[in-house]
Amino acid sequence: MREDFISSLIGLGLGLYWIVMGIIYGFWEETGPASGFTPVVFGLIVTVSSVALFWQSLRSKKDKKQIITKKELLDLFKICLAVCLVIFCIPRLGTFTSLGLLLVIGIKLISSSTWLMATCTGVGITVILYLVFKVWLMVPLPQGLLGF
Amino acid sequence: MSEILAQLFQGFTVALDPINIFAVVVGGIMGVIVGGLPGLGSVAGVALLLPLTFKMNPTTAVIMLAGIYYGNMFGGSISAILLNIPGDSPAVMTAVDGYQLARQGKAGKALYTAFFASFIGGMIGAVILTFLGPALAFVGLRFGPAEFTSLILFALMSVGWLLGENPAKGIMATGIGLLLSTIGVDMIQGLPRFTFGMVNLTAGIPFIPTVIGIFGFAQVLKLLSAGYEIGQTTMVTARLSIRDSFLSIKEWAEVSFTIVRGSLIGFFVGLLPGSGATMASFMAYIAEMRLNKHPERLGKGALAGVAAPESANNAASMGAFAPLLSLGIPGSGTTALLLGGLMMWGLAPGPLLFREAPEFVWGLMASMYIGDIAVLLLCVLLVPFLAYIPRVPKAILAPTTIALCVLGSFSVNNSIFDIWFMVFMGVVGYFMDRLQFPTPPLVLALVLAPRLQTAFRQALMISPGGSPMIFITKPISLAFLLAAIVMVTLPVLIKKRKDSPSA
Repeated sequence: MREDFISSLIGLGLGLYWIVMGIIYGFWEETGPASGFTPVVFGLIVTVSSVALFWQSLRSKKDKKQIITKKELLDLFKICLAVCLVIFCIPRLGTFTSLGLLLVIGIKLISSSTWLMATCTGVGITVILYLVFKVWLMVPLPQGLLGF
Repeated sequence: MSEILAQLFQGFTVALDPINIFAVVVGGIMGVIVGGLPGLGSVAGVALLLPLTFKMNPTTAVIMLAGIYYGNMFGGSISAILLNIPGDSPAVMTAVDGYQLARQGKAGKALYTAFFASFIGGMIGAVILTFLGPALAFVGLRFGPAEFTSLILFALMSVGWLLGENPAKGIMATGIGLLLSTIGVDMIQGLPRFTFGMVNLTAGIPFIPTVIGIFGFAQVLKLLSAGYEIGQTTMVTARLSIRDSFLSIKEWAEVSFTIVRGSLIGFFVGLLPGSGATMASFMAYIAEMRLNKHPERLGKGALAGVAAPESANNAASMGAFAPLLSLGIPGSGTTALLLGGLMMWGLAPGPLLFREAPEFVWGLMASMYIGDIAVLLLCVLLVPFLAYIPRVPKAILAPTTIALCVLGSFSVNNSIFDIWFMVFMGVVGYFMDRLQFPTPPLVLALVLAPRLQTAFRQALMISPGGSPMIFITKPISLAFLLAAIVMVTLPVLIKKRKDSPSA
């Protein structure tokens, strides 16, 4: 599969990087293994298994069907972008303001409910999370401009 | 024996004091809630509530804090089963089978299995602690670096059972976990490794956000992205009958040995200083994959896959008290906090504690029995409500789960970096799942490898001339190495014998 081919190359890259860096950190010294000992050993494990997967991917029949489609990758990108935007807003707008917006907009976009329903549900869930994490457990979450 | 029973009976007179009953129930409830919230484990729960106990009687205070500790083990399974977000690290393996059961419409059954396994594991742990705890604590002390190295190698040799259908992918996933475990400052020499200049990585990768990302956030990505059917239709239309949630006699028969086995493994691992409930739950799951009659079912929604880690983590929480009370050595992070509390109240854990403050020691032990029963009753009453959570529409469940992942990841170290890392690992977990790379070996390697690295190097440093013979000359270490070799070679030899023409 093409995905296995790509995965094996990524694994090979990681394994070799860890081996090289492990040697730079130092493999062995007078008192025994140095800091780079385990990175080299673990890097070898990843490298060997990546080579095996690489070989498998070359020998397997060419499969035209993609496991991960472009549409799926696009959806993944959109979701991650939205979440990253929320995390970016947390220190500026505050944790619960940001999460509240995520909940309201998320519920509206995913379901066919009205904005009123999405807002009521989203705000309700945010209030519960606020009471649990902020009021009861007193987790020092970022407050931002609005104090939430 | 009769003396121990007499002292335990005396302890019950202390534990059954109304104030102490109230304390253990409140502690247990708090533990369940804290355990059910991602990112907040028993350490956070005890740390948050420790200041509230300053003005309490020391016996009552420790009873409540102990209640939080084992209540947390019950609660961790709730979000693991219902949302695929382990409430804390000991519940990671519970999520593997528990969430699959929830997807099959058996959320109630999975929860009941988890709670009863936790209860029985706690009871077995409490009984062993009562009668053998002090003696076993001395055994735990005999575990040095060489013994720990061999024990962890023995556990990692068993990872073969988690590799899935493609061993190359399974070993690669394990290897990635091993690579991730090398990130951070080297514990022996103090050299930063693979930190890429980021201060946040000097302490290593954050474990709880990693687990929340791989299991929880990755699950949301699957839920929302195109081309992946999560089978929510099964969850919504499955008839939620409370009676159907109880285990049948046949199912009880299937999991009973699993629970006893998990409890014994859990207690023993919990006894070892620094091991804790997380390692115990992994060890029990690995043993289950090896010894269960139907190992092919594990990972796909087997009740044994829930029962093994849950019984182990509760038994381990009891086992962690043995070195604490007998020797003043905490068996886990949470008991380290409890040690601080004990010293604050003027109690010095150690061999003399049993003699100088018997009402405290035996009152605490007796309260564990009461607390275990109280928390079980509470959890059983909650199941009818909890079992509806998988029926919540995707539009509400997905954003709420993201919010819980964000809050849980931040709560561990109060760090925004941890949230970013959670998202990153979530994407990694998503691709691993879609490309059929198993995630349990990665998490297993992350749990065990740091300890392995440190123990291995320490063993060679204390060995004369740095000789590896230390792993063979130490009897406990040799026993684990031989067991590891037998575990790997015996199935191969048996298979060869079966396949040989003369057979």
